[in-house]
Amino acid sequence: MIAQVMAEKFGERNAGFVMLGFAAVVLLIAVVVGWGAITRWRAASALADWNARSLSNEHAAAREAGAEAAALAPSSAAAILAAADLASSDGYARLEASAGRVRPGDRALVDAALALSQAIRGKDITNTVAGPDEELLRAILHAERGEDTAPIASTEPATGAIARAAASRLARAAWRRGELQPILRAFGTLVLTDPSHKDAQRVRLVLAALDPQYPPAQFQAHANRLAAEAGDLLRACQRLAPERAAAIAVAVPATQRTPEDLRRLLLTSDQPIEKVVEEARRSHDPATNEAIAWRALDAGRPDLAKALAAAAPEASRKDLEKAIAAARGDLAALAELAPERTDLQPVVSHPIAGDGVITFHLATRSGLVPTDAPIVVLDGSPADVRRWDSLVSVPTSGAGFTAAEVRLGGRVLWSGNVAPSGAAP
Amino acid sequence: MDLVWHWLTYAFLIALMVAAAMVIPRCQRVRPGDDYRDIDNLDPTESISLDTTVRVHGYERGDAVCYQLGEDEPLDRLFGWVAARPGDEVAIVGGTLIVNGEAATRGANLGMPAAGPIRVPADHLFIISDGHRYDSTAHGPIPGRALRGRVAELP
Repeated sequence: MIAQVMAEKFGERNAGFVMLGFAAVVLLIAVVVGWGAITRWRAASALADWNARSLSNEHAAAREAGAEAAALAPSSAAAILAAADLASSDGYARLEASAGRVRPGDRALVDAALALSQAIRGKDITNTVAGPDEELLRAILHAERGEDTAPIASTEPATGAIARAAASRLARAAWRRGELQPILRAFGTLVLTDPSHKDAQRVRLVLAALDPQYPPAQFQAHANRLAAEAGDLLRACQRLAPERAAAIAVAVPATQRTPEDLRRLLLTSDQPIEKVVEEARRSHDPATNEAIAWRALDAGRPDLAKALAAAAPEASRKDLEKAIAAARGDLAALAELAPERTDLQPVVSHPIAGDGVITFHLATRSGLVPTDAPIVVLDGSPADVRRWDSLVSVPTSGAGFTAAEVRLGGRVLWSGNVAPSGAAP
Repeated sequence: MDLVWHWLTYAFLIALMVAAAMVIPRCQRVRPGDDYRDIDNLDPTESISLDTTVRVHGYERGDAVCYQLGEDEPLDRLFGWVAARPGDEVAIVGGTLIVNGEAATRGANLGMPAAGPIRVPADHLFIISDGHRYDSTAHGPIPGRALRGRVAELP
């Protein structure tokens, strides 16, 4: 009908030209619309790819997909943000240049990204950001500049990317400062906000080391997973929380233990005391030998303590040997080690002859009884000795005076004649 | 009269299309991957009803959810329960997941050292599963763009 009207008005040929032109315009519009649709479809596809890559932490591939999306849809805030490199000043400049093209409704997102870029590069924040994001960005900025950061007080939820960026930077700043409470706070935030962070295993180990309620077996498993790195981290934790030092020493890998670690470990070990002493002897560390010698004494094993005492430090060896001698009731050694202590010198009461036996008491004035039996010589011959605590009994066959001598540890404690039963002493 | 019938037919077709657009996203089903073992007793041969219309703020604590952390199996269809919503406070105390001061309803025993508290970021959910391999304890709060939808029920 249109062709007929046009033919009547302009003639057949002219109508044909007009229609051809019209068709060309329609075709052009169709091509433009079609190309736009294809471009949008490719941008959406690239964004979907960016989404999948960034969710699976394939950061390099995600960055490529984001750049492709931004090239295809330069006015899309999602595509621009996907392609943004916030850590570099070039990336900031590109993002700032793109910011004017986004829809007004998306501008706040781009401003937040620009502010984040400024904060992580330690630059003054000039972009407008409100609420909890602003507080986090200020904290990031302080952390980047090595300044004190206050705990985050906001009760509103922040933007995910800003929360993640703040968590890692505040954790790093807290570790540098080396104070227990800020480290616990920042590491705890990082491990919950970004558990796949490259330092997450180390952060978990530190938290496990500093958590008194955490099961030791699992703590040990954490340390084993980190192997070579665990030693330094755990020693840092011991400095942060000295009261946990012994518990932390347990998890230090055997090849990285210092003598101090081993000492702490052996002091708290629940292995049999014989094994603990054996390990202490193998350490060849005087302080460890001394510490474990005292532990063996506490465990009622002066014999094991004696094996370690010889390798104890010179300064403390004498005290240790005295304690061992006292625990063993080795009065001879005690008297030798502390000649000035008259209360530790063994004393023999005057022997009394009874019905076929000579008896006397052997003890110190402070009441210690020797573990080793004394040697009693009657009329030049060693006699059998029986003991009940401090009481010593020696059978004798002689009816008259008996020449007796009492020796302990090579020292003669008493010698003289013992009167027969009934005779005056 | 014919014109009226024509308009009625067009209106009916348009209504049908709108209804389909609204109903179809609520009637989708998703089948767990064969090797997916993060939810105890989840049958990999049975598909689960999936409502893809729910947005982050439409989820409640305890809702079962399907999400993705990648394109390939098993990351393309993961399952869990919403432990915390945007703005909720999450912490681990004595190995237990605490949300707003109370133990989480599912998967609270994590056996992890004390951590937090943190506030779940905007447009994110803190999701917990039985195995904890792909949930928020392993990947952090899950962003809204990773959510595939609310599933009817998990074992």
